[in-house]
Amino acid sequence: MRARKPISAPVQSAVSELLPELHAGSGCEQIGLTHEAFGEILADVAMKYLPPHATEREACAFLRTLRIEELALARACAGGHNAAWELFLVRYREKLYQSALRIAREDSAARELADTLYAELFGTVTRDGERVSKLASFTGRGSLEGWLRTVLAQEFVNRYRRTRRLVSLDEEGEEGSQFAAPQPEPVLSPDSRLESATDAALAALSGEERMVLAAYFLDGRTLAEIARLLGVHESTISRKVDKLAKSLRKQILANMVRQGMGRRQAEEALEVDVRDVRLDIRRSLAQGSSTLAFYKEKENRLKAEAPGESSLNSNR
Amino acid sequence: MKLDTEMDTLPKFVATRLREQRPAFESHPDTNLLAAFAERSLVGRERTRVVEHLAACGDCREAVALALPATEIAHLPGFHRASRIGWLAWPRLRWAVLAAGMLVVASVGIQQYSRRQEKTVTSNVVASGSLPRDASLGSSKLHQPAFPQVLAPSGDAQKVSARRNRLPARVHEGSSVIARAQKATAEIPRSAEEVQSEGAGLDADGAAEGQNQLAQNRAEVPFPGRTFGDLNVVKAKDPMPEQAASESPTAQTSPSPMLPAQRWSVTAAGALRRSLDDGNTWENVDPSPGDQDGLQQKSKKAQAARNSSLVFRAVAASGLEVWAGASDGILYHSSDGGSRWALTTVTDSALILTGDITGIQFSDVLHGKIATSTGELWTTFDAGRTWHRQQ
Repeated sequence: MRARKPISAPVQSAVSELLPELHAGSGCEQIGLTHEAFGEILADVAMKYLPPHATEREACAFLRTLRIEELALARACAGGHNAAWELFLVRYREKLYQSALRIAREDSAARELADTLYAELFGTVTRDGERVSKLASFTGRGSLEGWLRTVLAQEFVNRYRRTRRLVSLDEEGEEGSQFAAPQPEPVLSPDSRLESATDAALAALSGEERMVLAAYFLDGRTLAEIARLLGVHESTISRKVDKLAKSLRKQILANMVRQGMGRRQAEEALEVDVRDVRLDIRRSLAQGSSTLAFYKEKENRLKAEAPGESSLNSNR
Repeated sequence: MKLDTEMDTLPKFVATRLREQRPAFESHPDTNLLAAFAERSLVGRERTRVVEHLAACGDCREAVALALPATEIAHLPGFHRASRIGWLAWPRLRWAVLAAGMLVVASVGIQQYSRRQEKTVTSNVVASGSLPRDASLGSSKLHQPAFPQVLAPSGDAQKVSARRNRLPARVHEGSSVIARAQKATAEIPRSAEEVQSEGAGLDADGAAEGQNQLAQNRAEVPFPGRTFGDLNVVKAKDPMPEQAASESPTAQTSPSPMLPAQRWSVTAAGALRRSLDDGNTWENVDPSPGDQDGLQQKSKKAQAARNSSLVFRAVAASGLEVWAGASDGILYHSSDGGSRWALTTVTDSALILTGDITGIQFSDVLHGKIATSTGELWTTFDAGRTWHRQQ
């Protein structure tokens, strides 16, 4: 049994105050979670996220934001309560597979992904004689369905990264250096002042703005996908990307001038780079890091190979 | 939406510097926080930290993007890149949305009009004798509560006739209605509102009586679609008007004589069902296969909804208007008591409804609220034509 983090007094009193209400609304009784056990779960979750000096009022407000019913269900499943598992399977089995299919885009891969997660949710690993379920790490900050999707997505990204590494080494070994993993395109070393001006311009942007730029230019996400990510309309993202691309250039130029470059010299440095080094980021990244590339890459390999087992599977 | 070429390219050194940024917090955020961020449940400092990390961590960006729910605006034809769907470019789509909105308003208007027609007063019966409250003039074998028909006091018709010369023309018209009703020879399709407007034309002397008639007419909320023969007659000054007023909401559950009283519910398994016999028997209703108008039918969202198993979480009915909310923000609307359904997208300019719809409440045909599993609250004041996100 893992040692619990000590519970602060404000959190303890907040839990005591809200426990009857939250327990009644959680459906704990139907799924076999006791009053005391649920209180401990709430206190642990609050201690995990609240700052050390949080007041009782802040703790109460935080506890009210939790997805209480789903938290109780997940923790009851992790505790091995059959009634909870039955309810979980009714509610989430089909959704889990559908999410896996949407992420993996292929039936067999989706089933494998979902089955792996099922095993982790049920708890195949034991620690000190106890079965450890991944559901024990659910804290009710978002919906259980969203958490399951995120866990699936993380597992998929991890697998993709592992698989890609294996395939690259495998191709290099079998086919020789002509099929070695593509070397990154040499980057022209720009003027150091240009580099620092760029860093300063990027640092001046907010986290959300840098995220939008990275998602659009590095990951190749569509405007619609980024809009969904941030919960705004696609046209808003379109305007933002356009504005950021333009203002970034102006800011870099201004930073270079501030560093002592003449206006014309700065413009020339920027123009030379733009004219000679500008590349289509999307095309470049299509060979590299995005998941879209993974699908395309995998498809090409399957086409090239005999209809038997793919190199992906043989590598495992 | 047109994307200029500036947006498709970025100076390489900028992209390189962007890629080489390191997350402010080296360890990845907790899965719970990433999931909460994807559902837009994070606020303040927590959200800022996650966004800062996402700005510099491609793996987490990838995971969050993959973890977004399936259904949504990204699947709508109008929101793909303009270069691939030229004829659905944003300016055209804007007009299409405007046209669709007008179509919805027109259809709602027509429906309201037809409903009002159904509620038309079929007759203003004025009887001089005292009849039993439940006495029926015609075949009142319907299993619906006896509907009170308010009558003017026995002498009122004569008084009105006597004052005809002193009353404005509109009052003459009103009294002629009463006179025609006295004859009870034909249906007089007059709504309570029409009579109300006529009552407003009474002069001082006639005002009291007009108000009396007005109050009575207000009370005699007609049963929709009833004909004169179906109406029950009660005595003048009978206390039934109040009762009639309190009974009027039953029209919402039995909005038309052609439709029996409907009850709607959602099962624990997420099926939408309807009862036509006060809850004795229930039938499952699947809005998705039969939907709807041509525009919606072709949308990918509708297809996605049909293809995936719908899990309904909430339903609300107000008269013939039925709203059914399902998982992944899917909202169906029927304006004819569940015969035909239309898939509805709940948006507020830059915002889109996300998560499962967990609650729908309509206080009347126009005013409604929707709650989602992501904690969002959406309201409408115009029968779902436009929505506003409250939180």
